[in-house]
Amino acid sequence: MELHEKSISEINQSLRTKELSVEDVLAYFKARAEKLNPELNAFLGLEIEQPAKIDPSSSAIAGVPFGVKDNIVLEGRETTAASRILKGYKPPYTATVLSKLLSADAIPFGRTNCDEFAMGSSTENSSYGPTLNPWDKSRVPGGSSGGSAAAVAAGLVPYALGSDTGGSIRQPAALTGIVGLKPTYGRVSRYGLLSLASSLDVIGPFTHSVADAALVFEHMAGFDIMDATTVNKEVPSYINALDRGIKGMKIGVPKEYFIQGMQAGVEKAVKDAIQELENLGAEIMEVSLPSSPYGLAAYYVILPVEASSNLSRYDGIKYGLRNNQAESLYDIYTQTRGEGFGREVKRRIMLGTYASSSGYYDAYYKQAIKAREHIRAEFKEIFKQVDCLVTPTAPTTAFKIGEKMNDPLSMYLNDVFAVTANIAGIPAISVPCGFDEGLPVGLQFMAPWFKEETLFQAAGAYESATEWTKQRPNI
Amino acid sequence: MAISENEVNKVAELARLEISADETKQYAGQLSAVLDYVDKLKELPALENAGQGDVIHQTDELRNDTSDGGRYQNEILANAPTRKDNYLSVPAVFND
Repeated sequence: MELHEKSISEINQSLRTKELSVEDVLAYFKARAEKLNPELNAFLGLEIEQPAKIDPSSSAIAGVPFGVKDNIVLEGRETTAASRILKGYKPPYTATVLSKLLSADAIPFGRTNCDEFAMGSSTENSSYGPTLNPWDKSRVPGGSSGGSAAAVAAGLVPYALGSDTGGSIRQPAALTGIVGLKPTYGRVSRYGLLSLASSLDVIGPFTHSVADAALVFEHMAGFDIMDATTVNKEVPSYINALDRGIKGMKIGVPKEYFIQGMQAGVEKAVKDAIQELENLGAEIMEVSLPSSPYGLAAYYVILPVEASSNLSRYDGIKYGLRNNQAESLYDIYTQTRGEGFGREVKRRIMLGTYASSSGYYDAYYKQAIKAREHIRAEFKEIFKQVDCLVTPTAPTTAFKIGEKMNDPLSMYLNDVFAVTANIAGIPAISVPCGFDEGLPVGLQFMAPWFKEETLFQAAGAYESATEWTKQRPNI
Repeated sequence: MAISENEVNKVAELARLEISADETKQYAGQLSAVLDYVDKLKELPALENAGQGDVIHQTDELRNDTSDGGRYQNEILANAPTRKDNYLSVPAVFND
């Protein structure tokens, strides 16, 4: 077995027994990335932040490198959110998740490509070119964290971090055949994540297996005094949940997540997976979440409104790009932003500005907040009846590069099953559950607030019973 | 809900974005399509217990409001396109 096919624990174990040195591991992944990345474009940079001294026995992830989405800051290392407007920006501080992983002797390895400011579902909106899907290079890896997903799927790095505001971890995980976790809002610090929509954003891991996800997540979760939206709640051992089995677990199948127009092969793979869960002893119940179909509409009001406010800081004054022809302050703002932002970012800033402007605020933003409350209330009710929910992660497999670029609405619809977890703030995980015409399909589990344990228990049982998380693209 | 090109330009001005004539045209159609889609939110009835939605944050835990001595001043200023001594610099806001 080659190094890139090994689990995080196996790599750490090889370091502990001195079968391998940290230098061997880094050299292996560096060589692999240098060979495959020029085509895949999963990494924007291959900087390695190796701490002075690494003790492989200090943690279960010690000495193992990981990719970082280009919207999570590390002091002194260029971070651009794949935008021209932040070219050259060197953050003066380090994100809490990275500090936590660094203190566990894990090694940040490269900055991964993404849609500009995490706006998109295909990674085509990057100012530095699209990332290709390792399963079929004519297709997108999903987005916005598509670089992280492709880097892990292609074995360029054992795991990677992404951010999920409306599916940006789970949808690319599904489209590239790996595991992606979106934690409960408030479970992981957002300090050092460049803000998109602050009430929705969370950081989570991409891994090959559910077991790896549980392992990494134990080192990421927890309260942070630098992020007032994190919650001071004990972090349990997630690893222990993996082998509990799901005998008697009540799993809900919400009928609103099986819609017309869904790709037939995706529906089949997901239905087969649900049958497998039943075979493993789970009690499968059909349930209804009638407000879920409004989730995407609410999302495309809440997100642009928050984003248009958050992105007002990129104005050519404090950092990044400035248009040098501009003479007045007003011209500096408009010309820098006009030139520095790509089309999707501008589109969403305009949408948010419009929806929050006087005269439209009640019609759009207030309605969206009402939908958010409906959705949360329904999840709260449903979790009195079931332990978790299972749905498809995305309605299709990976689509062709360019296919949806001129039709934003059809691109947005790829996140229709993923956004509700962000709107409600609940945790969700995508695990591979099969293929349709050679392209991976993702299965999504959603659990109550702070019950990531239940996700690991259910997804862990499914992983042990199937072979899907062992599949790798031929690259 | 159709958005006119005039409205697009007005919103771009509010958002401090310079956009080309080609973008104005494109955004008018695309923003209209998205707004038509989000219009379905109006179908939802009012909620009885509005404002009770946040199940995550029962209490606020805030850090002390104290200064850490401005230790990032140099790093922050190093990112500025233009600076004068220890300040960010911009063109004059008022003429005369």
